[in-house]
Amino acid sequence: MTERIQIAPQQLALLAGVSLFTDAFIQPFGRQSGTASAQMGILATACQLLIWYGVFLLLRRKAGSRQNQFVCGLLLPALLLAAGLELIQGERFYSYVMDKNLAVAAFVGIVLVTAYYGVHSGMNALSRTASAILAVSAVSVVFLVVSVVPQLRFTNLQPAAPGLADLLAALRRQFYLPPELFFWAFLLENTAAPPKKVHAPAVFLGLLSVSSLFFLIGEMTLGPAYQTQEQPLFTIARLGGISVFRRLDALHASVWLLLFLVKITLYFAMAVHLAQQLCPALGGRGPFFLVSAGVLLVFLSAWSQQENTAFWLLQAALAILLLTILLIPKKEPAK
Amino acid sequence: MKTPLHPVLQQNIDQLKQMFGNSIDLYAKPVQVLGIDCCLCMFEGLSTIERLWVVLLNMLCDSTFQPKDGQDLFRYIQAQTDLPVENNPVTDFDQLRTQLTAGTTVMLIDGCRKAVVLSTQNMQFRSVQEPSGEGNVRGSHEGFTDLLRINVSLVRRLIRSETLTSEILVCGQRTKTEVALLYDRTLASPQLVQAVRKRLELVPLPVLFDSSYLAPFLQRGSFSFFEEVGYTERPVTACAKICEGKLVILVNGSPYAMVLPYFFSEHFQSLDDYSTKAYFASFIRILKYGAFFMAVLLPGLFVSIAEYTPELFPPQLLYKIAAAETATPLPLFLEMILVIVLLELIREAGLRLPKAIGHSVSLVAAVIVGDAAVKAGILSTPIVIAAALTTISMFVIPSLYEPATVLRILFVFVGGLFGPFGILGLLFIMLASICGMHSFGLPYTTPLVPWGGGAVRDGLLRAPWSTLAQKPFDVSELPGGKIEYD
Amino acid sequence: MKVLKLLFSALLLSALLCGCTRSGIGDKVIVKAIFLDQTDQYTAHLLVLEATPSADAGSAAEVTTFLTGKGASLYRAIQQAEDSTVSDVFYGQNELLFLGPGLQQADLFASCDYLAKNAASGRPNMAVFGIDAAADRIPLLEESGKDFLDHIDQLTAQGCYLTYLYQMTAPDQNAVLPLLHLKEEGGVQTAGLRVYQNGQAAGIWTGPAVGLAMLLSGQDQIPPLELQAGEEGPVTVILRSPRLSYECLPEEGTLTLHIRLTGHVQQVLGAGGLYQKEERQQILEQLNRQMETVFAAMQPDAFGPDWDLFFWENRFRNQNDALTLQMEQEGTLFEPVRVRFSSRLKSV
Repeated sequence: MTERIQIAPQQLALLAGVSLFTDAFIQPFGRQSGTASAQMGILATACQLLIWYGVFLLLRRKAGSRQNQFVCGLLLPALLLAAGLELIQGERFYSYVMDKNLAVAAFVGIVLVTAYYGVHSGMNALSRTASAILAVSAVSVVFLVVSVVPQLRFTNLQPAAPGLADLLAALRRQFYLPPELFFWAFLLENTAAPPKKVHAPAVFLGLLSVSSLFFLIGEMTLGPAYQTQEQPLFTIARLGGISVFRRLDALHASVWLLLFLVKITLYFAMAVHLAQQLCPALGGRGPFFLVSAGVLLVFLSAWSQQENTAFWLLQAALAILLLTILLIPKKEPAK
Repeated sequence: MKTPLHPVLQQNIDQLKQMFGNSIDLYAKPVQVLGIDCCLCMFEGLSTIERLWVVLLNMLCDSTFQPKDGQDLFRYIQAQTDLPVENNPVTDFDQLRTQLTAGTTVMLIDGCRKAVVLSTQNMQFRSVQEPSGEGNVRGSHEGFTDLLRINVSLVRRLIRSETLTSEILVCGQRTKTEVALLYDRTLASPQLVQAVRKRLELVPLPVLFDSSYLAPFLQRGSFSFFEEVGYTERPVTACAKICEGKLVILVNGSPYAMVLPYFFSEHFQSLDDYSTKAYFASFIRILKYGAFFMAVLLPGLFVSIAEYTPELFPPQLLYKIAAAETATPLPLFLEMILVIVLLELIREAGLRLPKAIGHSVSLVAAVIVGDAAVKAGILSTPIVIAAALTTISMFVIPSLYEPATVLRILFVFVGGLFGPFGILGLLFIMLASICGMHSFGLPYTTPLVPWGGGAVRDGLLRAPWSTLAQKPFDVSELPGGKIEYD
Repeated sequence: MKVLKLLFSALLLSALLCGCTRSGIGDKVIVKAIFLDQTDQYTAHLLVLEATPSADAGSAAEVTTFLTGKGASLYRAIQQAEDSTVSDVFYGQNELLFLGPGLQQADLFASCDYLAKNAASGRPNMAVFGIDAAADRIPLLEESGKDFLDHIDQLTAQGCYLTYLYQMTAPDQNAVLPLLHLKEEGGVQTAGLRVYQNGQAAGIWTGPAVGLAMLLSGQDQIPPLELQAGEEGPVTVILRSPRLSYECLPEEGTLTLHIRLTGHVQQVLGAGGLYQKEERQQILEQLNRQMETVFAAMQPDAFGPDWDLFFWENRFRNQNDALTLQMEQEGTLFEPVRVRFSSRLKSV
């Protein structure tokens, strides 16, 4: 990544945080086998975030001059896979929550148009948009909690004795490597003077708080039925109502889909940036169309067929990338 | 290349007449002043002949000076009399044209390459009145007029500090319109001033009749629904902006001052905000933000919810809307578009018609659109109510009327065609558009996004004066971006 | 600008070509309640609301009607009911599910599970009731459908036991189903609570047990209690701010859950009319004893080795998880003495 994206560390942290937050609202379909109890879920999430933080720190330390063409060349297909999978997840979530579905082509078209606009607005614009959307999401969460307060029962919380084996099993079920860690670290190190304060602990703590809140209100509302839910937060949203508005789930889901749009636009932005680095001959809108073509290819290949395979391919690519970064020796500056 | 004045009077007169095409309103009277041949030139209507004669006759009667030649006469009038002459004489035909069209009288003198400029302006112009827009309860009710010099004086009268600086430039190749650039030189960024001055000098406009003509040349970036500059009709507002380190541009012939840089949150500020209690001002501001989003989103959301997610409606409302939709021939979203377009037509008609029959238009519109169309089953009451609510909300922030109107229609389209996801996509694009704009280097959404102390101080809310007075607001202190101009 | 023009043209074209063909809200009928029953086959009645067309929404009227379907499976029965109308059936605001006598005895949980997983049929927050009317009686409600719905609203406003669909989908298949009696004239009244253990109907709670069950399930608004005041005969007792407090205490190597009912007796209405304050004081002790008796009768149905309707085991485990597991293995956890109920109602 020789060319620099100018974005303040705080804004970058916000962007990465919002992207990671999305999975707390829109649970990835099919990737996890059953939801753990709240207690186990919170502990497993804490362990997962700790590992993420460690990976992030490692990447920061080892990134910098390791951002060569090979690394970029590995990260780009990983991002295309991630974006394609995210597109599938978004489409599936939309079909799941809405009674009246939208044609897949229309859905994908809208995503591509918004991604195009978001990419060409720039990272700073995207981060500002993300902060506005995050504020709206916070309001959504407040309304959600208020709407289900009458149905919250402390007795619904399942008191599970947290054994290490259970914890590891829960962690194994839900753990995954997100591409956000990689480009967050790369973008930070890609500045003239890499900043000291990057706000990563705040992001991960925020993630843990939000996830814990969702686990708790989910189980307190649904009780034993919580563990059989595919989208527990959406189920809770379907339960609650405020005053004469008996069903607000579509409203909540719409707000969460804004987070999805931020995330996928971020993936597109990073992929376009990498494409520009790898293929400097491509000018104008060329990199965006190239990335779109790649994402569509992943979408069409994996949708309803090989999603699991695509997911594991993504994880493998990111793992290889991580190992590559850790193992490639640091380039000494020319004397 | 500028053509200098001839020493021969008749040549100057002939060239002057030729320059203006022998226009009927050009008054060029050859006279003798203290024995020297001169010619008094003015435009009728811009200058007053009566005042001119009184001024000149007075001098003629009282003076005992006997000039040797034209240059002697010039020196005498320019420096030794108490005639109301301008400091800078006219030396070429370009200046001659400028002075004559400014309403002064120019006295060409035989044997002199310079001409005296007499301040005898008496042009007809609209007086200082309360502007039609930007209504306020407290504070000054004065508004800008159409004359640049008067407008500059209105600002000067309110900011009596020596740091207020005004520069005059000329824009418009055909109209040669005077443009004033006002700023506080201790607050405004010198780079900003220089950049704006440079852009104004290079504006390739053939004509300039309003400050808004300059906006596209001062802004940068691709198309956006929102403008990076603001406008005001009130001198008080312009002065407040100058005191924040901003620039104000006044254009001769336009009562609208342009303010730059201008931020999104400023559309929701008004003069009364600073005259009322802080809690009430904050409440009104939040109301305005709500009104804007309601104006933009409500029609599209209504259509989207009705077509795609009707469960969001309260049960009692749902069957009424269903009943209404069954009874009308058009699909909901086309009905909404129709009502919005009708309302826009009514508004436009009300604006363009003479005031005497403007009231009748409102009555006819209310009766036909509001009542008869519903009774005839062409339109349904929920749609009419939603559209009317939207329009009323829009009147709360008139400065955003244009983008809100177009965005509203777009939201209806996408809501009707693609449902909630269409709305979300367009909302994302709108947010990205607003968040991606820069007003002369500063993020357009400052201080709301990125959230800064200014958001509570004087953005979303308004802090009490005891807080505001401690540290006056300065645009250069806003967070979120490095100031870069060109 | 070029892109914007392209976008706008595409939108306009889409609007002209496909914007008018989609069915709108006017083509829907709104489902307000679902009645399901099973005899030799499944029967589904959908109580739907149709709005009479009116451009002036204020003068729109609603008409209730029933859509009926029968089939070998629940899916087919519901499908047939939906197909019996040309309009689209809209479940989005359906909040009521009534299960007939046949379904209450068999296939209850499988049916609820199907409905919960089928997002189109309603929301997981549907209130589930058992109704004593057979399937053929339900369509007779058509003309008074609106009144029927109003009665249900009144019942829930006054306070009745509420079970939601998602609670019926818990894997252990233990649940409490509120029962309703359909009167001849179309009104409804509560008829007790049916208890299910491991998917089987185990008993019916009536009278003050219903109010107590509501308190135990966390609902704080209970209807008047019908109690016996000894020689005075039956009385109707209205409580103010009834509350249950829970305390799990270790006792002699085990744990005991103490449940205490507190609150104020606001009104007592007997055969002779309203009881005065002194009269209320006199019968207070009897009322408290009776509540304890009622609880004792409920306890075996509520708390057993495979059923825990009010999640009392969680309270034991929150106090001491290891000891609770030990007690469970030893079989002492579900002994009646492990949960002690005391009533400490006071008079206002």
